[in-house]
Amino acid sequence: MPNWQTGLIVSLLLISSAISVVLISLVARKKGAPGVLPFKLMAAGIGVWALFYAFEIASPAMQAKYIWSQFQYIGISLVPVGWFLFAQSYSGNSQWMDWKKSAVLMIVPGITILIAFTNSSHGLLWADYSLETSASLSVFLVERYGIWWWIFFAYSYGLLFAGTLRILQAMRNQASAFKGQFELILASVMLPWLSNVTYLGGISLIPHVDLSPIAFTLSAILLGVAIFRFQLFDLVPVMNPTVIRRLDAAAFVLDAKNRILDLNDRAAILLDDPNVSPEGKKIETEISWWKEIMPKIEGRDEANQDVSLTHNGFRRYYNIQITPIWSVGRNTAARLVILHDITGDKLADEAMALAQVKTEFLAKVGHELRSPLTSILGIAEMLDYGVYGPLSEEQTKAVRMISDSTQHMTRMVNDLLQQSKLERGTFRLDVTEFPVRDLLNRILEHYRPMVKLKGLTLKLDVEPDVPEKIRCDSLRLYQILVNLTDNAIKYTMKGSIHIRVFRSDNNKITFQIADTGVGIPKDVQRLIFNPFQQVSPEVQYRESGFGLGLSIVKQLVALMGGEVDFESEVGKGSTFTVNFPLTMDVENTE
Amino acid sequence: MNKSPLALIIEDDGIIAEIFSFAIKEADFNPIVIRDGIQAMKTLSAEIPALVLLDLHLPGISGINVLREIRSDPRLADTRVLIVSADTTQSEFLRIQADHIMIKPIGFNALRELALQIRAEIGD
Repeated sequence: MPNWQTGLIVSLLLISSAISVVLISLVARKKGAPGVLPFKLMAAGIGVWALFYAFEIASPAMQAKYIWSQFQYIGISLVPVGWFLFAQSYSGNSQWMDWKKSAVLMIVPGITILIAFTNSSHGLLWADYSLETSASLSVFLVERYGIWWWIFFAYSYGLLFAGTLRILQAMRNQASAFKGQFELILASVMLPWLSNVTYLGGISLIPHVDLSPIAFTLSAILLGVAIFRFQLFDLVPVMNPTVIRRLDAAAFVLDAKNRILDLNDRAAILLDDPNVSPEGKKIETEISWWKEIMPKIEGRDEANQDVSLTHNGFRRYYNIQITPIWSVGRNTAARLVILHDITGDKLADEAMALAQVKTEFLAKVGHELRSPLTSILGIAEMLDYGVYGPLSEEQTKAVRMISDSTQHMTRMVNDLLQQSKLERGTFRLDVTEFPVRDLLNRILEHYRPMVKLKGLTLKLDVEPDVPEKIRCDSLRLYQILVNLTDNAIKYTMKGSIHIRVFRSDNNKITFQIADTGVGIPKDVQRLIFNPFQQVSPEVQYRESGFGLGLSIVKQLVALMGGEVDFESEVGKGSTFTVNFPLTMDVENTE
Repeated sequence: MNKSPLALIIEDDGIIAEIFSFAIKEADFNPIVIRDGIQAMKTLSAEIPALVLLDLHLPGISGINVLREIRSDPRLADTRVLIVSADTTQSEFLRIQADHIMIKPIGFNALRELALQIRAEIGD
């Protein structure tokens, strides 16, 4: 005898069922997002449960009630599994996204459905039941549950509990942007718990009526609010909060329309206005220079490439990695975009590549110039020697000018080659033991005519405590001293050049070349050891070079374990000092 | 009449080979110019030169291999080898096996002087 109470319950149950259908169709558009499939499973379970429960209540006969109760189990058994999987998936635990694992979870519900439909032959679900009829309502009342019912009961509550726990854990770690969602989800899960506990505890509002399907429907409505009010499935907290947030690269999760779903701290720095919450907004409106990147990554679901762009007037380089996170059919619905600022590395690479090209160029040019130089020098010297017949005085002068210039060019080529070898690190020293005084005398003899021609004096003083023989690369030492002496003569117009050799503190041997020349202006003093730098550009000298001399000296001295320094005053002259350690290798024959 | 000792000039650059020839002649050597490594090997199997001027960058067979051939041939035990190179640093092998090494650019005078010195050492 249906009355208003029956009518009310049936109506509520039918509404619940209808709402479930609506929710399923609404989330169907979010296909592919985490949690969508289990959510549909859960909503379908609620809908089926509520629908057949409505039929059961509405049916007056015991037999009909019994059958509709059996049908309810199709829904009842789906709800806990749906809830559990939804909680796992939505909170970012992807290990349950495997269909095999999900299928395992469905074993107990599947058996339960089978048992429900075959209960009359074994009573494993309902051992004893009756038709309870009150003045207002007649219900199918289970007097005594079968053994399987308790198993299913424990299983269902286990899954509901595990899912709830998962959501609570995830909530604790989440950014505030997702708090609203999680609070609604949590409220939605508490309702069925409450109703179930009251029903089983016998304190239900309506005696013997389980209001769980209605409670679950209310839950589903709360979830619906979460979906539309808080964009559930749009803004999914996919990032592991601790790892991604502390990542030393900007990380964004973008949906198919380039809307920012999530971002980490480094990414937030890149926003035009860090005070505006960017979630749900298009990235190109939040980061103005993103438009420069867009054509390079547009429509790409996977990428790992370097891009360059102008950011605040500076050229910057980023490595962009794009990883698809989830897909709808063949289309990617969301992408993880990681931007790594590699500007520093790129600039260093470019500088290195440029230096490498320069060094190789120097080596090649130097090498290739040697053969034609041999020809020019050889022919000029042959002419001078008279191989092609006697020359007039003028012709001899001209031929010697060719020879002089060729020898000058040879020195420049040698400098270039040596510089490139020093830069490449392929320069090797040839260390031998040799009499240092002989070497110094050779230098003296070499420069004596030139010094005389310029009206200068050249003096050599070797202190007695300087060993007879020293161990080092004699050719390079000769080159260093010649270079410094050459400069001293070149930049001295009157006065003297004084070479001193002595033992200094810390067991070192010191070579000092002092001149009374033009001196080095203060502003270029710090530059003189740089390659391609002229010591005194204002001093016009016939034999100009690349300005590699002092750079090579400094590098050679360093290679030999020594130091070079200088003092200079404009108009008074310069003193260059080279120190080498006198190691155990030094043989003191004195 | 032609008592001058034989000198092979193995050098692919014609102008340089000519300069070397003149310088060597001045030191009383009888120069033969060879422009590639293969021809050099052939000549070395037939002749016993007193001096070989050897460029390292040769077409065909490299100067290093020509030097190896000379050093492994007992007939050429007395042959002096003067390496002519555009590289300022030389390998250990070269430094040990070559009698003289000259770095390009090499002047006519410098080569003539060295050739005179070698000629004097060889004697008649």
